[in-house]
Amino acid sequence: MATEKEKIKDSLANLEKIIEWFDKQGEVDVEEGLKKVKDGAVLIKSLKTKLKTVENEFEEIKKDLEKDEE
Amino acid sequence: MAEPMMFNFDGDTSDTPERIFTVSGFLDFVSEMLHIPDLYVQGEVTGWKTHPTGVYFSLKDKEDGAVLDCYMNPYIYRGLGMMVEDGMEVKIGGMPSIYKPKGRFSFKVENLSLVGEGSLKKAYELLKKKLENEGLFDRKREIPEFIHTIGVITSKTGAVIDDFRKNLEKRGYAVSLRDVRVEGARAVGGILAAIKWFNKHRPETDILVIMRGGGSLEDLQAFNNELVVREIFGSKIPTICAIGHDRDVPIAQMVSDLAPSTPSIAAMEINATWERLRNISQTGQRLEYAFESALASLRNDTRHYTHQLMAHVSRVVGRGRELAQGLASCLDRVGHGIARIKETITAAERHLAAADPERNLKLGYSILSDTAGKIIKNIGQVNIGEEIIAKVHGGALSATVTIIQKK
Repeated sequence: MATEKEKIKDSLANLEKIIEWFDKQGEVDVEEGLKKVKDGAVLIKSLKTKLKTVENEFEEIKKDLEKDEE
Repeated sequence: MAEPMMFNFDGDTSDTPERIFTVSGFLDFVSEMLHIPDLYVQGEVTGWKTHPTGVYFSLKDKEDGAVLDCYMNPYIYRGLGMMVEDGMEVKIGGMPSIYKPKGRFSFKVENLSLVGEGSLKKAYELLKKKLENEGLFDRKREIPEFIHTIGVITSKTGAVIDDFRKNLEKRGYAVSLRDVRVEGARAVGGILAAIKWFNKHRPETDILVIMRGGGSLEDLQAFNNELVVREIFGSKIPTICAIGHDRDVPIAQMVSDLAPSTPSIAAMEINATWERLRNISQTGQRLEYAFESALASLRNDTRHYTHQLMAHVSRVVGRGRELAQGLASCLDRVGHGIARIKETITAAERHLAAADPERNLKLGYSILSDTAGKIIKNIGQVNIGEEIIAKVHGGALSATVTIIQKK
């Protein structure tokens, strides 16, 4: 979980860097921009998958805790 | 018996023949004539001599000093169980006889009893001294503990046995009674037989109790009889002798292992043999109390520790709840984190989508640049006739500026 979180964190950081890269661009390097977008898309897809896994685990834990409380 | 040669009792010798005896025959005849049953003579003993062949003595009449020579078989003497000496008043039973070798008249004694307190007292003292010297009074055996079987020798008709029974505690005693006469010298045989019977037929009997109520020396003769006394001493079964008495302790009591003064006390002595059990019972009770006390203490401790444990459990459970709540809170934070990440991703998606040059080109936008590749962002950067490059979806094209319209 911790490793998974770190990975998400890393992915988010990388995504942030891509966004920042776009924000800093005075002139758009279309090819580089496209590459960055593609990288960002990969990161987003990966993040969504990881996040889905985390979210499922989160939901299971939540259910378990709710059961225990009952 | 020698037959007389002739008879002439009335002195008439004319018709009846003379009666001529031999000496021996005459003495036998006279002896036969003197053979009268149930003859008793009472008098004072003088010249008492014991000899292996028998006891020789005389009885003297106190009134006129008349003397009767007496002979007693040693076997009979041994069976009397009493000590006799000169001066004692006695009653003898037997028959007159004539000692043929000497032609001397004497009384053949078959039984002898003492008469009067004085004689009885003398006999008592003599026997007491004799047995004391033999050490018969020194041996005292322990009365067994937890007596169960009791052999009783007494008269079944007296109050003695009732007193004895009444005072026995209800412990399931097995009492076996041998009914004997206990009065006077004639009681000796029965008492002797009873002691022998128990030792022979009931040797497992725990205690032998010989009893009778109070009485004079004459009444208690059997209990001052040497034969009875030695039989008691020789009994393999321990003995209790309870004989009521006025002054002189019966010798039977002196040789018995225990000599309570009354039958009631004899019963109590027997009850006392269970005393240790009573103590055991008390010990048991003490043990029970101690156990109960220890149990109560243990119960208190258990209650105390249970409370303590419950308190700990409550604390642990409370802590558990706190932890669970903390965990739930953490989980919420994780949930929020996930949501934030989602938002971040969504925002990034939007951002990237917006920044994607290809997307804009697809929408119909194009990117203009000069031939050097510099992006034309302002109208002021181009001149009429200048060649420019336009990037569009799917490729690029070259164009020449012909018109410039500034806003």
